[in-house]
Amino acid sequence: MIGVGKIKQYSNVLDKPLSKGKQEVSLSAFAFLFSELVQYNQTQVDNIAELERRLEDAGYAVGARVLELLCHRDKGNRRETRLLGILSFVHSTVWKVLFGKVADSLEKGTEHEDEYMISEKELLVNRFISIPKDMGTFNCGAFVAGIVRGVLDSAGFPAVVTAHFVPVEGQQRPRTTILIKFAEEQKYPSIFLTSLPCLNPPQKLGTTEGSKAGLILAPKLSYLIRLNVSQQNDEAV
Amino acid sequence: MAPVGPRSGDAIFANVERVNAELFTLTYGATVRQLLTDLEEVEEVNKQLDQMGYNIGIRLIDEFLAKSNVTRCVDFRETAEVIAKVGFKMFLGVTATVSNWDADGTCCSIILEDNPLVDFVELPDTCQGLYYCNILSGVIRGALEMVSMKTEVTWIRDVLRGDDAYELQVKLLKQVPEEYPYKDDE
Repeated sequence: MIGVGKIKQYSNVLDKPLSKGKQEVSLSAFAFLFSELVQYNQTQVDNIAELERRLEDAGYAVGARVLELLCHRDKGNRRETRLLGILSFVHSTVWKVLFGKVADSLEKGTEHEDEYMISEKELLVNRFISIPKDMGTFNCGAFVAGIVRGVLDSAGFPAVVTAHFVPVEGQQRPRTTILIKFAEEQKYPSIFLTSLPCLNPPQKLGTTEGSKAGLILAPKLSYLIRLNVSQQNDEAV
Repeated sequence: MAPVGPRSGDAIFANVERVNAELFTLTYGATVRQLLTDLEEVEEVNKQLDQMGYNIGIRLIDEFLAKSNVTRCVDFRETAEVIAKVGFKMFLGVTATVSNWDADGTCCSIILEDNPLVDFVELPDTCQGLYYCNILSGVIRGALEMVSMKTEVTWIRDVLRGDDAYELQVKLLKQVPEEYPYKDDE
């Protein structure tokens, strides 16, 4: 029968080698899917804030996975442990993988120390979206804000992330700014976690054994390290 | 002689704007997860995914016809080939094969060798009844309905459920006759 034998069978999804991430689908396919995601969520909510929160939740799930994926594939089982490091990781690496380009800008808020902004002239998810007048300030960028929050939170930098339209002079369409406000304790991080110990030599990733061990062990390890940190903090107090 | 439509979607796919498949995969995963949390029943999720696919299909056909340059298909066999070779390629960047025709040429299987929806996916025990890719069947059903073909699309095989390929059975229920002439100018 046609098609048989072409797909290699894996008993476990972790046995599969990590894809290289070069595969593409058409932009329309994504736009159709995203529009359905938004429309479905519209049926589940009563107000705009709730809709944005639900989109953000969906994005969060994407962000958490993107971080894990990229750390294993692109960063040799390491992840950023410094605030600026993780921000530039989001602005360049994550953006490049997800949206095919580096974000237009990454700025520090002028009024508050703990605020950062990532701006994009034409955010991919907003390309084919026009907001009806009665929906006010609703921005589908909430999904991307969720992705950013997912990445930051999973990397140990909890933050409140929101998406806003900012009008640009001389342009018909506003740009989207993703505002990142870090939680209080991030301003003075007491302990810099060292990156995850490299369990497998990076080149082994992608082989059956490497990806399995990497994917299973790493999350547990990060969990352990976090536990240790909180204990140390307690002692210090 | 009438111009012959493309027999493969490669050229079209190369010309359309594309995005990373992982963004697509993960977004779809997030959607399914949201549905599972909201609807709780796996059966309901299957239905909702099919409905979402249908909504996509009835819009997607416009873009398909506008960009693909295919001419009217003479029979259902040709339609199925075009979906597999041009349609799947144009939107998802993968090709499918058509086989298992029945005797009267109204029922066939579309077999996917590669499926960008399912990367990183494993069905937990609680979701064994889930047709994870059910959105695809909805898309085909919706798109064909817009070109006057009522179809029934069901999953025959699904790798996530332990089979060796993704197989969609497309069954032509009836062809709705088009009404001529269109009264555009009234």
